[in-house]
Amino acid sequence: MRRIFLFFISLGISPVVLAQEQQGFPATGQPGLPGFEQRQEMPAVKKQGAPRNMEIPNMRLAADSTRYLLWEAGKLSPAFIRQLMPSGFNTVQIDYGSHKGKFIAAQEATSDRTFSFSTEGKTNIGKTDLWGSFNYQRIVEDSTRFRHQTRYNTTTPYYYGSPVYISYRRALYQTNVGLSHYFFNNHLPLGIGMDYRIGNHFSVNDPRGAINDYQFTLNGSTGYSLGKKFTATIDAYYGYGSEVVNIAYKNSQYGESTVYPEYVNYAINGYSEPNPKLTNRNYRTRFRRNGLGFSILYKDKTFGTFAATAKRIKEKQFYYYRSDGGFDTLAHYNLTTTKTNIIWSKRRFAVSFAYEALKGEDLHKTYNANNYQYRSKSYTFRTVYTGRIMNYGVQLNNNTAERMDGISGNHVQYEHITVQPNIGWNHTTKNKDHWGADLALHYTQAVNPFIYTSPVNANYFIHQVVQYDYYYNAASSAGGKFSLQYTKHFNGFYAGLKGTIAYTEAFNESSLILEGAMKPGRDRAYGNIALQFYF
Amino acid sequence: MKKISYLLLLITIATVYSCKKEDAVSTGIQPVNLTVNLTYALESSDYTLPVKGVSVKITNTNTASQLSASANDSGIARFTGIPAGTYDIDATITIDADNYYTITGTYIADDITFNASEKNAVIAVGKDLSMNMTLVAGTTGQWVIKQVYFAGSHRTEGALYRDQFFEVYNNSDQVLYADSLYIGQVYGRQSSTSSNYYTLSNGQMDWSKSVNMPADIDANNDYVYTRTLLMIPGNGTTYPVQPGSSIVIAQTAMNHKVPWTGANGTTITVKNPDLTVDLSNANFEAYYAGFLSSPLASDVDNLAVPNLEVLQYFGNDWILDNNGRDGYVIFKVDGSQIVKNWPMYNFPTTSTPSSTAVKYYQIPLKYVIDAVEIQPNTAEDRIPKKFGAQYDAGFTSVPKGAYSSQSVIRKTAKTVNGRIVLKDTNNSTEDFDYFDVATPGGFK
Repeated sequence: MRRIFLFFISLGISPVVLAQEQQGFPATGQPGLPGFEQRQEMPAVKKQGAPRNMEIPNMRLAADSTRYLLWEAGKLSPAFIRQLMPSGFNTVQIDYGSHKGKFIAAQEATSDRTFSFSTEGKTNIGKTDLWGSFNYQRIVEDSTRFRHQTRYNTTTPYYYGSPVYISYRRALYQTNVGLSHYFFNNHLPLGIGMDYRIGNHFSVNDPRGAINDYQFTLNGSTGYSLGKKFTATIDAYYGYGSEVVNIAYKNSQYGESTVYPEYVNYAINGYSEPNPKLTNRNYRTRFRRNGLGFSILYKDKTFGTFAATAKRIKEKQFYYYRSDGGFDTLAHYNLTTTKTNIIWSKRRFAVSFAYEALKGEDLHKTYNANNYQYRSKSYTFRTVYTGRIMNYGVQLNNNTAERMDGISGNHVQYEHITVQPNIGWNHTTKNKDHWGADLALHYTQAVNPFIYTSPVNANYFIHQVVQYDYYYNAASSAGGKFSLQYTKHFNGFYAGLKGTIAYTEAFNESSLILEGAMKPGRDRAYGNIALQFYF
Repeated sequence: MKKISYLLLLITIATVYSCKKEDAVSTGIQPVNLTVNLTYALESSDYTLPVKGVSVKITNTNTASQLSASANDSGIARFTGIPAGTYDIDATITIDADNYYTITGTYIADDITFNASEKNAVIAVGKDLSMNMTLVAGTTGQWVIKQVYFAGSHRTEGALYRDQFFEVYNNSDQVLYADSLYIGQVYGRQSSTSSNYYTLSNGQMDWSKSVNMPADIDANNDYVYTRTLLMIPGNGTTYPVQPGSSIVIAQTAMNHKVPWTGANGTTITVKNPDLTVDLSNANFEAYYAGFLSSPLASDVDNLAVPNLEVLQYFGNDWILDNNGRDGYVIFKVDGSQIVKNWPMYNFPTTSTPSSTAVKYYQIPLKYVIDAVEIQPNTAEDRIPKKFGAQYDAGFTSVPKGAYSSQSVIRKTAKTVNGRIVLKDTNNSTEDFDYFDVATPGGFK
């Protein structure tokens, strides 16, 4: 196997400036989740005029938006690894980015700085295809509030929070592995996937939250394969995880009474005004999940490549307080995730569809009934065309989110429609050095936002979270992202730099007057610089 | 080729269609009907007391929203369509003295109040709830607990806990003697979380399971258990207290607003005198340093203020729980009782306590003159009640909680010939208010 080292500045997972929820880009602290719906395009950097077989395979894949989309799709199911992920594609990436600006959701950070190191690669061991990735992130979040969280489980009704702004530090480690092997003369595919994440999170000012979490998910797939043309599998998923949350105070007077209301630790349990929780300020969450899905892949020279996968995973979350005397149940939360991904590609063109739905509902311990409901849906259509010099893409997204609290009657509902075209330019010099530029614009239109909050007992949480988020999500926004990269060819590898800047501004804010509500700012900026190795 | 294309198109359409819109969101929360059935706990069956008009109030512990209803002729109060949740349910009726005499033939000097209470009652979805509550008339004594300053003041700006005090009031129209008045700090569960104790249905300890507890007594209803027991000294007539006057019992009888010298020679001071109190004129103080090997520097002996006799203590000074998790009783006994010889018991732990485990005095409630149940100020941190309705049907707390400078203060009921009579219905929820800054000798 020929191994070529590239030292290349590029970016596969850097988040663009976020408009409202779910524009298809990972939020702060969320590494690029496997799945092509999460990725931004890689600009094409094909060498002009050179014979195709002179291209370095890794470089060609990374530079080809269409093929890279297929690579990303290969991570969705072990059944796709062999057909969609060419062997020998190995990368190491170092990345530093920062967000700043107050056009953010209530529980986001007004600014953050993220350093990440990631590597991934695909190889063969005998007849077994093996893909793996590792990602490490070190994140500094300034000025986040009303939620001590890992940013992994954002829909839950149960967590701790305080009105005061705090600064969080996070260290995240994530490993993903997938392998695929075909038995019985390539008729019986067997695939195994594993995702493992460990996180350590803590705030450096009062109230000092400390959270340790891990998540582990295993999936297996098997089915029938007809040579290299057709594979169909049934996929099964099983996973578990844990979060351990503890709140402490350096200045103990902030936490032992309600004299300093901004520092009071609240136990949020639903979507209404929470109660102060001054003692026993710790809890644990146990996660259990399982699910089923299927994957289909068809590849034909005439037809192109078609891949579809769907899965539904049901997760049970159990919140409890552990003491010397035993366990005290705090809350139950069930979250069902349904995902569908379809992609079709032929030569330089690809089109994809991604659907994701979350359905969360709790079983409130006090009421012995379901009190909190969460729903979200996201539909994303994307087309990509890679030309010799230019590449083009457009993405359409529709997403909705809804939360309801039964006791208070609080109910919010948002919908966004986003269009995001992009165009890229590439130039290769005689020395095989590459210049690239990419411009992406996005426009998000808020559609029919709705809010009802009970006037009874409205206080910090209603004003600073529920109503704030309404204003955030009821606004339309637009912005753009520009990236410029230079990649130098060395003997056997490539090296380069890539810089990205992005900006989003809100407009058409809601004119609804919600007495006492806090409002978000109007803009958000992002900057990023990245290094990448290919070998 | 065409067949495959059609098949794949069909799969695509089917998959996209499966992402269909779902029904409107709704939750499982349904309103609940609550029926409260009221009866009296009467020692005689020769008469019945009126149940019509008993006032029943339910308070949602989360939202603090309240609903009230009056009982009908059958003693039933109904609440329809209330939100599920956790509620404090309080029932009360006051029968004037003349009416009470007409019904019972028993003369009483003042109007009598009957209370019933159920705290932290969980009213869950799925069933209509019927609750039986028994109205009891508690003991109304001549002495009442007037003010309890348990919260203390700011840790760095104020005096921490060293400025705590306890105030007892002569609520009668005659001179009373404070001599041999006992003050008990009643202990129990400090948390509602799972424990290694035997517990009752309300979560409080089941003292009947304590080691060596006699089987022929009602260990939970006829007694409470203290972790501190103090007594005012005197020969019986040493410390007279005039009607409408009070005695202030300080942890440390110093003026905490100004610097003073501690037992180890260091200067004890506060940054903000407005947060604390002057206790240099307290009537009594709890002085532990005389018998402790390592007392607190702040536990100095003000020679102008008599010291309490200490029968039982914990810690290095008379520290009241700043979070408000202790109850308090005052009582007197007749000459037949030697209090310091009363039995003491371990916590009713599920495992056998060690020989060195702490024991707690068992205080017979029949001697208790007044009792006050105190709770933390936040609903999440509530603890199981220690007193039954005949001693304190409710509870009181300070709104801001620990180290807030706030105290609980018994309300003024009326003024008779210039003498203030404090409210005493054996329901601290109704009888007490709070001072934003504790005020020894103050009224509200």
